Amino acid sequence: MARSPLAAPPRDQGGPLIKNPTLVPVLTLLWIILILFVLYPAVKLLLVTFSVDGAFSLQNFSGIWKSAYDRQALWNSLFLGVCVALSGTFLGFCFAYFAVRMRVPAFLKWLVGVLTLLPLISPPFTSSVALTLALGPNGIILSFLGIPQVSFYGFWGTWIAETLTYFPVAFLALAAVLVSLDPSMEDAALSLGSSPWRVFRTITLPMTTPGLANSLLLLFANSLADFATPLVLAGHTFPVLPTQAYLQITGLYDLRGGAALSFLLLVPALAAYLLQHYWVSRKSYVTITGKSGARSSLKGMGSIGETAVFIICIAVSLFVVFLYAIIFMASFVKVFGVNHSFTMEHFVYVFQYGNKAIKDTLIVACLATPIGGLLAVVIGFITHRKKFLGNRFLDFTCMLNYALPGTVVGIAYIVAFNEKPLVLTGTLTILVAAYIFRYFAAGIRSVVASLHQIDKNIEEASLSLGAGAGRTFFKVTLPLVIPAVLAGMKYLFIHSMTAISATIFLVSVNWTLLTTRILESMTGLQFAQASAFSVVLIVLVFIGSGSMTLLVRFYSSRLAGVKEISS
Amino acid sequence: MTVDLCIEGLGKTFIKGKEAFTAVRGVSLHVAAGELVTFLGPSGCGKTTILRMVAGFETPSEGSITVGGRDVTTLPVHMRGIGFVFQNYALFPHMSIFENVAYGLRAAKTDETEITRRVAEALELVGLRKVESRFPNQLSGGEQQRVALARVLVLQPKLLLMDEPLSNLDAKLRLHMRTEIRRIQQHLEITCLYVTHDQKEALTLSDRVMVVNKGRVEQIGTPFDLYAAPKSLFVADFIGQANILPARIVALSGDKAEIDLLGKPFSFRFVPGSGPERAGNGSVVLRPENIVLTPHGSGRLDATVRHRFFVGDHMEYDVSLADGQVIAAFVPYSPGMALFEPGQRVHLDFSDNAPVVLFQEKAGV
Repeated sequence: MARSPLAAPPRDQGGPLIKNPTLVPVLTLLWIILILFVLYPAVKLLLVTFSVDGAFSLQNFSGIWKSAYDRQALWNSLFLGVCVALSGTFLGFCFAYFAVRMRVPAFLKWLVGVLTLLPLISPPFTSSVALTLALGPNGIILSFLGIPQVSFYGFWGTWIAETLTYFPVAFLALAAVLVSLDPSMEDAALSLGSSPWRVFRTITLPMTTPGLANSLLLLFANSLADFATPLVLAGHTFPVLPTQAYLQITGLYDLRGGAALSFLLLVPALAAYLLQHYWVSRKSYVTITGKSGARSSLKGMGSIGETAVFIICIAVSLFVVFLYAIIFMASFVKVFGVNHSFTMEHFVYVFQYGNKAIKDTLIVACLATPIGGLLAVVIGFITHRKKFLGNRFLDFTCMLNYALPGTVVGIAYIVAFNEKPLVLTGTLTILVAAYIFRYFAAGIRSVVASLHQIDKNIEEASLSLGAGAGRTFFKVTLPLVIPAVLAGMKYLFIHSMTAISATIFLVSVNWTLLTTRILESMTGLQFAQASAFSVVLIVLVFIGSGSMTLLVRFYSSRLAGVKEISS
Repeated sequence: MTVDLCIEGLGKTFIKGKEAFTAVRGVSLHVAAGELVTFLGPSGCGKTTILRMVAGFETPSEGSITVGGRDVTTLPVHMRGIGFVFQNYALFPHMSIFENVAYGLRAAKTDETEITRRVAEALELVGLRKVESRFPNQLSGGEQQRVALARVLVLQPKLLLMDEPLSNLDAKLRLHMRTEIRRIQQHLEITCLYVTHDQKEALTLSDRVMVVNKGRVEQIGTPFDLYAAPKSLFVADFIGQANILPARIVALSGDKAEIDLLGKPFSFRFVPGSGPERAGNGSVVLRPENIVLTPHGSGRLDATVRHRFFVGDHMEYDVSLADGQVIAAFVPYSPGMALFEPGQRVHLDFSDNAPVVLFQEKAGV
């Protein structure tokens, strides 16, 4: 993270560019591409939204305010966001508590950990497809229970699907908080005569409040930006902003109206992001006491609470397993729910008609991942180690596309690149750029985090031994941050394979993606083909991210070995 | 009000992965009502684990714990009525000082006027004023320490357990808090266990000290016992500083041992129970501060000065004996006194009672 200018040593204020002339071309190049792919589309979107015929105007919004349907979409989006944030955080907390605090067999914890990872690496439609097959019209759960028809499409379906998709985000955030909570706090409360349940209520829960707030905001932003789930499950009774903006543009060819709708989406999303990023993330009780006491055995919240958490976690885990089993099964049987005889015909279809989509998806992901990784290293290094004027703005620019909902980014890109001077729509470049600048922020974050842990003295030692800035970077710094870069690249790869909200606006006849094929199959009610596409995509993502995880482990263990020798 | 504590054959084995690690074994101890016993030992010796088992944070693998005649071995922490002071104080960061101190009273459903009165009393007892509405991170380390103490004392615990409570304070404050803790403990007549790795703290604070090493009790005794009659070389070395000289025990007569040290006959007192009491190889413990160096005359041992260090209140000399082994000798320093130079021949002298013979051989010589 960039330090505040006040904290920076005064000697660095002088002329870093004069001290490091090699950085001038690098920095110039960086700003050119960031302006091109981040700032230019954003500014262009604002211009299109707030101007009519070259003059400032709010006319684009009047249509939205007049349309009860669009107004409804705004309230629905916010309502859904709040509901998903609450339910997802609740589930995430239960799972985190289960994994961190409860005395359960290790394999059960491992299993639950893996299951919570599944939704994180799956394409966004997976849970929607499976839920439709389970709870939708003629869904197998409904027919099994003998419930004739419930309106599953709309709020309920979207809410359940988004909760299942996003609770792992809450799980990861809250597990980290629970792990780092000082155990002597709870020990102290117990020794003062508090019952386990009271300790949970008065100590554990209040001390995780910042973490809970963080999780609520994260999930709110995620739900607000989610495009795929409502597109499949929300239907006409429950319009939300991202899908409305999409339909406005692709259905009604109303770019300005869509831009205005996406702007409505942008305001709460950016507010949630800023609140989470600059306020909640600083408020933490985790490391308040510095030196921690003795390792402590696990403390529970009392048998009633723990039983409830256990039941919830096991039930939800089983449901997730069940959903993935449905996808898997639906791709291998003739007609799911009707004719369960084994067939490979859906996969034959996928490889026959979806071959291009598979190839294109892989090309896009395999281009975006290394380029994004390289950019992440360079930007992380520059923002963290070199003090330049405008560092904070650089940091902000890199986070912008990540903070904005994908729909907004997608619309900004078509607004910006659909007309002269730069026509890029329909090309490979725009797809790759969209993914890189939307998801490389995670890589930058992890590079910066790992740079924090590398003592600056190591680099200074290299400089004092006569190596230049460039040599020091490549020979000393880079090898030490490689695990972090790989972790960032894994994140980028997964999202390049599975994310759709931004790129749905950017696909073309020339370049198409697996996720859009799943969407087409879904809207065409070809559930079996959708399932088969999903299975192929999950397998590809699994292979890719799995091999990258192994690489991270390999490098980490090598570095661990180095540390042992040097100490 | 005050109760005694009895620990019988206490043991703890942790299982990490597939490996079992025995942190504590066979610890037995009786603490009289109102007594303060410190657990002293190097880090990782198991002293904190013993304390945490008495508190109920860990369940013993074997043995029993009895408080005031009642077996509490399996009783949950919150029903034991103990007070535990943590190394990092463990003040609740989201609660004011008042709420921190009132926490245990609220758990016991005390009524509000009583809480107000007792919190004020407890803060008064530890010498804090006007801090009720502040938060832990607004207090200094010493003040936090006092709050942590007030938070347990307000409950009038039968047993006070302290886990290195002063190790996060600076040296001056540590000395002050040490006497404060002792004053309060004696004033309230609370039975108290105190864990530390600082031998000075242990010696000045305790009625008795239990020295722990590798999960076992090395010795339990008063500070004087440990210093004057260490039952093992570990204790001799851990309490204060000690020169340990290998010696041959020739015969025992009364409370004296006839020994052969560097080819000369001596008769020193020995420590009963430091090993099988018979002739053979043993050790002589001679503390550096008990040695007097004389330039000439009638020393008991001859030596040559190797190094000289000025420590402030005394001079430290490294001297080599006839067989080449190097030992330390401390000489009080006052300005203007004559110093010995490296290379100079000197004589070592000491009183008859200073050295002590142990029936243990120094390992790894």
